[in-house]
Amino acid sequence: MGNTSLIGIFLTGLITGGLTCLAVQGGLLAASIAQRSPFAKATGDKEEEFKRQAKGGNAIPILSFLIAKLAAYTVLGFLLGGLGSAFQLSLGAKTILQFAVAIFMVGTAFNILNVHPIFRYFVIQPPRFLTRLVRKQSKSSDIFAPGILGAFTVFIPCGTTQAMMALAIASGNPAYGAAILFAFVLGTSPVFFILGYFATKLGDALHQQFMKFAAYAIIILAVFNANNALALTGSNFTLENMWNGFWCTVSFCSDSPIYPSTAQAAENAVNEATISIEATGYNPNNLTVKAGSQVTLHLTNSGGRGCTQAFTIPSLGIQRVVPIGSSDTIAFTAPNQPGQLPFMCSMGMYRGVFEVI
Amino acid sequence: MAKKIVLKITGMHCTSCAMNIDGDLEDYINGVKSAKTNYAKQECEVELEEEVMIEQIITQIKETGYQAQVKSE
Repeated sequence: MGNTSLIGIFLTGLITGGLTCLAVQGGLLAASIAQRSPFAKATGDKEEEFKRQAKGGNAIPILSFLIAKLAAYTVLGFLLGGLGSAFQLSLGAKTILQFAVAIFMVGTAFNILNVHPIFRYFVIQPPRFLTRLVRKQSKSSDIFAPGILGAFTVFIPCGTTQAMMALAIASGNPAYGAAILFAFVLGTSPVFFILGYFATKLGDALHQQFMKFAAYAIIILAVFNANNALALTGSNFTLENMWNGFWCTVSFCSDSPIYPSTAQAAENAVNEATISIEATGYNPNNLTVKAGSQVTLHLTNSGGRGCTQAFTIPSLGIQRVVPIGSSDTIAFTAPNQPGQLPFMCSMGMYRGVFEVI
Repeated sequence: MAKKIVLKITGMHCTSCAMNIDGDLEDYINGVKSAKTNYAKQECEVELEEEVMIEQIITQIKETGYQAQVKSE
């Protein structure tokens, strides 16, 4: 799991997730706080009480709500990542899962953008017994009520949160799943704490703007996810390749020295090579091999902790896990047809290519 | 005498809105036995135990933050 996408997920939570979830959860928390305060009970003015609480008068209920929510979603992310790992058995299953998640995320985003009513069916409506449970909890007046309510919010995820839950499944790893939802919910917390109850009073126009931003953020994450899924099929139609292809045609780079002539390429061709698995990917990540030749590859993992540990050549159906600090050797026969033979990590994020000549 | 009415709801932006409508109708309107709002269909099916003024229900939904109009009785 790249740090870039975790930062992207945190920012999505920070800028938008807080607001899309806040509209409902702010009201629930206010109701919960109002249950235990004589002031609110007397005047029935839960907003006033929430403002007093949000100003640090007694931030404990809000803090316990947010901490419990963060913990509950982290556990949920762990479970969803675990669920996703069940799809890791074959490259095919994994690719299908990644595409399904990308489609679900785009559908969620289109629902937020009101592209067409059909997209409302993409957002899963929590069953009524769960929503009743959450609502009942918001009426309880015991001391732990706000905290428990915070944890119960996993039962009423809004559209943006559901997209992040799908991403947690697609990560196919409990730790990544936990990291994704932790980053997202952590991102939603500051906005929740600062704005507190007022967000539920947010002007509809402003709310719509933030919702649009949430939708675009989801689409970007979905496109990256789909791009990785595409790479995992071994196809060359990834964003990078299409961009390189476009860039080469525009800048006539095929005549430049970076692209060696066939004679030179033949000299660079190897039968045996060592690839080092590092934190930032594979090094070297560009090797030349002869078509149809037997290739022996030594893989040494000097710093790869994440998905880079699973060295994958999709089109040959090869995947070898080389845990950090260890090494391994694989042998394969290069395809008979000249062309590009991509290799990558198990999520299709860190990549390289064998130039088959 | 259980009577059912179906209302068309507008203004919902996420599934939790359905929870708000159901909860408010069941909690605050006497005579409402159950309310089932479906976000995807944008409809709310209200089951009444006794005679309730429909305007009362529509007003309550407006207070909760959404618009409603009778679709069928």
